[in-house]
Amino acid sequence: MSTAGYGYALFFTSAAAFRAENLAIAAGISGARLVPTPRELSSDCGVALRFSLEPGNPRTSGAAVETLLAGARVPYERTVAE
Amino acid sequence: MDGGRIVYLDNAATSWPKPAAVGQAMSEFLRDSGGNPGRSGHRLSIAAGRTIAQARDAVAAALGLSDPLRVAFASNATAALNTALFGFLKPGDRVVADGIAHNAVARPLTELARRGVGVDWARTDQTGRLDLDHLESLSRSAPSSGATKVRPPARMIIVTHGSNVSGALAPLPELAAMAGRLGAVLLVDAAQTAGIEELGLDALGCAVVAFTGHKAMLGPGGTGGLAFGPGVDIEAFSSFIRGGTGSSSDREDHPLFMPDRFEAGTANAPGLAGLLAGLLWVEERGRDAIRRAEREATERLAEGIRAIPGARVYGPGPGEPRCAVMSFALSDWSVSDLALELDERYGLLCRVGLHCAPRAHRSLGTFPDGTARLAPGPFTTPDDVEYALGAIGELAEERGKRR
Repeated sequence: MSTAGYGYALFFTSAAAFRAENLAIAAGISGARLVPTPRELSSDCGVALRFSLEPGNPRTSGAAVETLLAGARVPYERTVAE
Repeated sequence: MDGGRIVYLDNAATSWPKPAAVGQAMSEFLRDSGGNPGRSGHRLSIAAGRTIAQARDAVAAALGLSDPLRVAFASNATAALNTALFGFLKPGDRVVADGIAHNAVARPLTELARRGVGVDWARTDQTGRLDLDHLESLSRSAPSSGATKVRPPARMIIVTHGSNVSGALAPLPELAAMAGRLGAVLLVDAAQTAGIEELGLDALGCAVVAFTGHKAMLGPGGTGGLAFGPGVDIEAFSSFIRGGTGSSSDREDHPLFMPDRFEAGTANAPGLAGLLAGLLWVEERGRDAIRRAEREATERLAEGIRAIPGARVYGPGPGEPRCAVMSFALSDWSVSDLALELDERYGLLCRVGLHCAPRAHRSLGTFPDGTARLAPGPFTTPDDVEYALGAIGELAEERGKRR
């Protein structure tokens, strides 16, 4: 499936980002990996969870990631889909 | 003496040996993933952060806590206890602690008492068992009488889960229920038990557990921390530490969210890699099986030493709740001479003296002489136990003959 750019989940703490990465990979969120937080999204020097946006695949949307994180009580700041 | 044999029964001081996987994990960490965790976003930094996240998950699982983000790492259980005590208590508060507290609790409380915190000590009996009724009555408020002012209820109850002197085990579910009834936070010094005994922190609710990584969790020194039960308001605990966390970097005030609230500066990531390996080893081998074997070894040591003429065993009786720690003394022997002979002639390594817990020795009636303490670990074999009993028996007999 072709990707239409990336979505990002931003966290207050890297401890939450690492939990989120495990959850996202286990849940099959496409392209889930930690990357340096894009400067245009946050002035944090930490890491963000990046995932691939795939048109027609609701499992890799920002909303799906938010549902996943809320279900596991992993605090996050916000998700951003480019 | 058995030539060159070493029987290590000092696991209450620190566990030894560590599983080979612990040293390997630390070495691999330094070689393969030595970036600064949670700072830079490159692969080595992320690999390091992942290791710490896995260690946090493993600690939470070992403590029966479902939310790993309620675990904050510290350099050891003492630092964790200091954080909890100084971060929570303020002048005018009152606390009740058990009468077997280690100096990691007693010394911070002595300082807090100087600063205006009311401190009361609950009775423990001669076997190290806590008097729950006394603890509860001390923890309640009391009206003024005569010259005595109104006594406020305790804001915090502090207990030792497993005594580092007698091995007595405190009943955490009852204590947590009591703290809940009284509206107090239960602070648990679990240095001897975290990683091996069932703590069930999710079910304890309003409990905070201070743990160390280098004892039953089989990690290296320099690891430990605080774990907050689901009923604890973490915001009631301030942190003494402020600094870089890799988060909220645009701000000069320290973040208040977990775990950064209590963690600043570069983490002991190689140590946490070792701690993770230790916990995985315990998990693989079976926490219950290790605990059962250690308890059997401790009971056998107590039983064997009780049978030695001139020996006295302190702590819980046969079958009573205990962790893998026991204390004894031999008449005609100072415990320091005994330790030296056991080490030099038999390669039997133990700790003697007051074990940084003078209060516990007062309650057992062994202050200031102290005791000899034996603490089996996961690598202790039944043959080690019989060897230790033989060595202690021989020394007792030698002095006994001189009488």
